[in-house]
Amino acid sequence: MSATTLLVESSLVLSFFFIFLFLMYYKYLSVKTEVDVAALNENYYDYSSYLREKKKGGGAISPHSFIMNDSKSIGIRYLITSLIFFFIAGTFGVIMRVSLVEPQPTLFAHREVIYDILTTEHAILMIYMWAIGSALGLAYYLIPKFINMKSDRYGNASSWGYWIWLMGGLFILFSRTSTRWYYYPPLALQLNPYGAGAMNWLAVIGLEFIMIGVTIAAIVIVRNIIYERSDSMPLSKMPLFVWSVLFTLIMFLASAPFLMTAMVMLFYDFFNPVFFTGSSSSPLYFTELFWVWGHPIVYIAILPQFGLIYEIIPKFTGNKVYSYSSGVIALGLLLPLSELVWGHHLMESGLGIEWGLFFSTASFLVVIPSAITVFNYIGTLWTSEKIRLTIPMLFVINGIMDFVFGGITGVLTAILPFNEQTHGTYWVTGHFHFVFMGITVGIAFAAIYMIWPSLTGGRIYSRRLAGWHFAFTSVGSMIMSMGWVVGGFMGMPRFVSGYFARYMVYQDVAILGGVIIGIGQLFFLANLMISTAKAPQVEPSNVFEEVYRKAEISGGE
Amino acid sequence: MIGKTGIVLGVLIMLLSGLMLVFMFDAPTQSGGGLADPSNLPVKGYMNITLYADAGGWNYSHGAINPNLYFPLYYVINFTVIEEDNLPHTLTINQGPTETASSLTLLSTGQITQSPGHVSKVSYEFFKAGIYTYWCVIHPTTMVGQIEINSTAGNNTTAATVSSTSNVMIHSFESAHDLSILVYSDLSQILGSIKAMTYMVF
Repeated sequence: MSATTLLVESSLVLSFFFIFLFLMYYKYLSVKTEVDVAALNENYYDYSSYLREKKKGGGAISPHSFIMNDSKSIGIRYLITSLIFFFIAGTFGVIMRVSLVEPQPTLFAHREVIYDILTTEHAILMIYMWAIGSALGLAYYLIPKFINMKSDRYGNASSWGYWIWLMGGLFILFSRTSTRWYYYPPLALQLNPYGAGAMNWLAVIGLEFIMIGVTIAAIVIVRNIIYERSDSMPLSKMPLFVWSVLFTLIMFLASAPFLMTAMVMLFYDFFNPVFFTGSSSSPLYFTELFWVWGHPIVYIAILPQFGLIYEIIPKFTGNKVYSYSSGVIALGLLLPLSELVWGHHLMESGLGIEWGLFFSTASFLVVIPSAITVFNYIGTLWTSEKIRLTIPMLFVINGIMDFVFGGITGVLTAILPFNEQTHGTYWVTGHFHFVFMGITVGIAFAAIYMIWPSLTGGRIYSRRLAGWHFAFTSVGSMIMSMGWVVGGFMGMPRFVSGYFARYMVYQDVAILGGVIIGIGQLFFLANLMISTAKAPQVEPSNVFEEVYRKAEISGGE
Repeated sequence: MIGKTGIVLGVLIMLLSGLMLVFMFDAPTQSGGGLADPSNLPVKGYMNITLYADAGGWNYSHGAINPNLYFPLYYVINFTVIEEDNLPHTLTINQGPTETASSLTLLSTGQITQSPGHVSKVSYEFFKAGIYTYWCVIHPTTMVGQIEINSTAGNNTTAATVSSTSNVMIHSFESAHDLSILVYSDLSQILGSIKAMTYMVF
């Protein structure tokens, strides 16, 4: 082929391509104009919510939610994505656990790096993609109706936030990094399989992307809560879930810059190690920057679920929340306290006894709001006539109990001498798996079961399968975390692919629990597939939103 | 309205979980594509080389600055690093012709004691021909030179003390020997076939 022919042919192909693009754009514009006019005629602010409610079945799981930019569609996007990542990271967790069946590495013998990769990916994906993702999804999905939002603006920005967040998660997944979830240098800077993995730089970019995406989402939601709240709903009557999301996102916005800065500095250190590994700097600088963010994140992962518990309990007890104001105050107290306790992650790093005492005391202070919250739940349950033990309610009660277990094991580590014993052991793993399995996972699933008819367009879930899901999750997490807590108290170290033979019984107990949890989640998948295969049986109404929808009618001027 | 979306989602979740697990199992586990130190290397001899650590450059006041070093294969090289200028230095040897933290670090002294005249010793046996870099991570622009490993001990070997007797052996990579199993386990072969099947399906 001569050069002239090539030129002519390629220009022809390009022209056709551009003509095609123009036609697509023309088609898009005309359809959008049509929909815009229709939406305007029906008094909808934006065409997406018009489309969703009038044409696409109203906020159900569907691929349409990935191209529509209204709050509900974005909430469904977050929910779908976070569920997918929950199962991916959960598989990693179960396989990683199974590989510990014997003291010597079994499944990953001679390739122990795979264990490090799995533990890192499990942690990062679970925290940033599942915990934050499901919380943002529920917030986007529920808050517009909770606060009777005046107009649904900034959907475009939310969409950008979602895609950036998703891209960050994919970067981390594909980087196969084996740095731990805290990215400590100098390990994070060693781009080889013995260090943090050859692609760890991609994981650093990925985490930065996640933070940018969640920041965008956080600003949009906070703005919606403050400015788009219905006039008939003063702050003093705002639902507790909205309060918890507001506090969570303010906490996020206050602490995220530390990590974002640290990540940029870490990325610069790949090229010129001046910030954390140079002669006049210390890796401890990074740990400080990380944990100023890293402690609030664990509250960010549970606070929205605290709010959801406040919303779920009244539905099944017929009782009001025992004390609304103390609930708000407790959620709000966690906001300043969470920023003061980062040092309890570094108590063995030589900060000195004064700082140790300060962080120890501050960590004990966190017990106060947590206890207020728990006693508020218990008070609500205590004063109710009868409690309907539905699946979401079972998840809630299990969550409260798990939180008590996790809270006690957690606050014990704030005692300085006790910390010396349990620092870096499975005690800590057991502590936060109690909380995360009970609150983050359990309550998120409880909320998903609550809005099931709304999510699936009028289907109802099989209560038998959901019951098995609950039973396996709660029993498995109790067995797993108990094995870890006891083993960790004996000094079983975390984050290693092998262990001393005397810890074998604790590890095997934890494996049993982990496998039970893994099997339990399959019931959820089966439930999802079976119930959506059937025909719709009920109105796709949302039990969460019913209460606040009525409030708009009666509470208006 | 949503039809079979739930089923699609469920299948997608299971597929993605499995695929990602296979993807993780496929991660490279050996440095530099299999450049882990094999055990039982033949040792043909020992060579000693002394380097003076100075922020102005290696061997700053001792002849040529940052000399190119030429060593033969399978010789244990005993590096002696002598502090010159009260500043922190490291002797770090990386794979590849340029100094970068991203290539595999074969050897590093760590920061040597900052008193002039202090002597630090490390040794390493090069078992692959090629270009390596020796540098100081604190002064990566000034203190950097190249090491060339020849497959045969030719005439262009660096003028270094060559001795065939056993010398001060501080082999810094003994722990790496344990990690350096070049034989793949059965698991990886099984996974490989699973992966091949998944690629065929998609």
